[in-house]
Amino acid sequence: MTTIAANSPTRQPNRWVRFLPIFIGIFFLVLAVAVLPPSLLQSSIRLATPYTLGALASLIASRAGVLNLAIEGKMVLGSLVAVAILYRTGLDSSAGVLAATLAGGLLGAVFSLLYLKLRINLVILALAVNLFIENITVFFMRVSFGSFGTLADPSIRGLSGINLPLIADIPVIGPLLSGYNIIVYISWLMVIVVAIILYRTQFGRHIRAVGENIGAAESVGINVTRVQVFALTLSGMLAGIAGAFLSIGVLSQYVEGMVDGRGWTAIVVALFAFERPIPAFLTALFFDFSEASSFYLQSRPELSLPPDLFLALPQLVTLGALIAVALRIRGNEILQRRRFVSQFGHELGKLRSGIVIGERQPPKAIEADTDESERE
Amino acid sequence: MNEHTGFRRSLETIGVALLAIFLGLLASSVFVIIAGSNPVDAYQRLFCEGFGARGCETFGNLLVQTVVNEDTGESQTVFSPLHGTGGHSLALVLERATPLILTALSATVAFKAGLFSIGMDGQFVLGALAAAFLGYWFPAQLYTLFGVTDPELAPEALNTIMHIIVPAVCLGAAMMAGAFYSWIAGYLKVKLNINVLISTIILNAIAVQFVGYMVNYPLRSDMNNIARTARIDETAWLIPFNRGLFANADIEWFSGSRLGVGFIIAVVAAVLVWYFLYRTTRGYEQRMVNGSPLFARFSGIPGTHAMLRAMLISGALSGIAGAIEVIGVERRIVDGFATAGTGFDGVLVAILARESIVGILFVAPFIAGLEQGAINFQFGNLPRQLGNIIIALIILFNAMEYFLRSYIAAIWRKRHIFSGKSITPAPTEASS
Repeated sequence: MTTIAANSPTRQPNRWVRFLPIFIGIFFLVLAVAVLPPSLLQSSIRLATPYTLGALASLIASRAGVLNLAIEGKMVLGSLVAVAILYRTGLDSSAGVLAATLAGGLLGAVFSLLYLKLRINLVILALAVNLFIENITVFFMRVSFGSFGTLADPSIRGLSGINLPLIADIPVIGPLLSGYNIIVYISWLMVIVVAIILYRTQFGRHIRAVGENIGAAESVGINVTRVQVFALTLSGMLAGIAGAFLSIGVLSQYVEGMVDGRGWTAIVVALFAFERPIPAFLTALFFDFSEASSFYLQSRPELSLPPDLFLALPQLVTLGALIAVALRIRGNEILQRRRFVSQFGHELGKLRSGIVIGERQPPKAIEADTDESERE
Repeated sequence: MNEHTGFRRSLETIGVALLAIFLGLLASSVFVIIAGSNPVDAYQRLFCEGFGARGCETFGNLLVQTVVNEDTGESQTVFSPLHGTGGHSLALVLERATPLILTALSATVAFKAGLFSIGMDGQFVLGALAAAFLGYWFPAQLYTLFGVTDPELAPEALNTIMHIIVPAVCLGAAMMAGAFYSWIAGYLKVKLNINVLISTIILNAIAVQFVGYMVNYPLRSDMNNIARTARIDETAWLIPFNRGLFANADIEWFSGSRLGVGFIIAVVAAVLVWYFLYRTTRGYEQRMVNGSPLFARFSGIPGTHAMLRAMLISGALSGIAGAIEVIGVERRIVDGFATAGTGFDGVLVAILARESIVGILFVAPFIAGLEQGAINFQFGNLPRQLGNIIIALIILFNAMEYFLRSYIAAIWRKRHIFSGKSITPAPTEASS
């Protein structure tokens, strides 16, 4: 099975290394508040929501030992369902959010059934589900609504901003924390909720146990199937809300291809945060800052920059982030190995004598466990 | 005994694939019914548009067709895959399948080395960009070099040489572009253990944006509404069959399609990849890295080299696919070419074919035909997305191998029971 770059390390050797990304995040936030125009900051906080929710969806699934690559498809489904429900029923826009959540959750549950009961390869399943959802949404748009490319109607109203009563009055930060629509606040709430579920409840400990070692978890009586079904359903619900944000949170219409790879970026956000909720939120803010600034720079004709290159900016940031994550993991490995060698170095030396990897020498069993990363 | 199980296994694989196709079509018919059409009629239209000859109406016409001879008025029954009056859609299917075969081979080479790379799309568009640029730039340079002012008046010898050199240069450059792009992902995997799946998805997006930018700005040739690069020089073309080889034979089967040298390249590539993977030491090393990385390492196989080599070959194959699409079919890159996702279809073909080279040669035309049929047919109000829906469902059912196999095995056992044979074979059978 394909494994992902971050193996969600449980033990971090150094407190400072561990909190480094949070400090960097806070540093950037303070710097940003001081220097940048408030409209840019507001839009980047607002537009970070799908990344936050998508990253939460990704991390809760991978914490339960399931590589969920179908977040893109769930987002697409959520964004169409939200608009379609409003179009058909004419209800208040919060009904759209609810419908998108349910649709995402349902897809997540079906996904978990296909994976757990029919034993479909996870990656193939995710690719097929993404392909299916992307096409079925367009199919139903044409067939049921007769619309091409865009599903819009004056009766569909997007979510309106909510001003938080006390916070809005704080001088500098007030406008940055208030005035968003409900999904933004839901995403902030969900960061805390997911963190509490994962770290402060028994069920969360079960989720993490399943993700760490599925066999061990099963042997101590944890119902692995139930944990994974729950995680995938919750993951689908979160991705569904993220989709609803794109369609009725930002605009009040569904545009074909509006999700545009955000589901994949969200997976990278979760990776970058080592599958932890609060760092994932900060990472999402940082990621979206790059996207918001690309829009901001595009909207300035006096700079006369070609828009296509700026659309690639978030992707380049993502690639840079991936490399940074990998370097961080590598750094951790080196630290851990040093510590291990300082404790058991003399024992290791005895075992290692005479073994050179790559030169057709008979191996000794322990070499495989201790020296995995040293082969290059 | 060994042959027997091997034969039965491949029979089962084919059985699973056919069952998956059937189930996929069955499941998709739900959506056809929702759209208000009759599934049987819709599928007849779909398959006739995809695979049939002119005048194909029913499933039966895919094989046998009654044709009325216009001169004599007689009607005769013909074997329709070879009945090419007015051009056959199978020629178009093979034209469309050419890049699919190459990108599927590319995916297979990567998958076989345990690298789930889906970077075919990015490598494909970069290869196409390289070929499209060199296709008009390189001949112009050659003409200046040899002092030819008007290409019409170029000496015959120069033209002949250029007809060989320019396409070769285009293909070579596309190979290198694709291989380099794929190497990035491979290097990140080998050095930093970054998941190839994730990195190739991001690299794809970057490549697509980059090609979009290049087509819209630096390489834009004219002020046409839709941005496009300059048309490549005629010396850079890969000659289609109906112009070159069979130009005098006037075989109507090919008319209307640009099926040509590119398809031969794809088939040759398939044979070479098969030979490389299954008959050479390095191919064995690559497959070994997937099967058991630790065992491969202890046997002295340099895993990192094998992985990087796999990524390079994979990228080169995708790059060639892009080049063939440009110099063999499209002749230029039009805006929107990059976002069409042709490279990704190759990944789907490789998944459906279960990484089997022979399988790819059958699955690629099948997928190409489904897509073509879905694009061409306007049955009732069915949108063309139906094609991809069917493909996605077939992939899902095909991936239920574990489930379907046990189902088939149950049928197999039952057949033995019903045919009255005992479970243990008779001694005569065992000895033969």
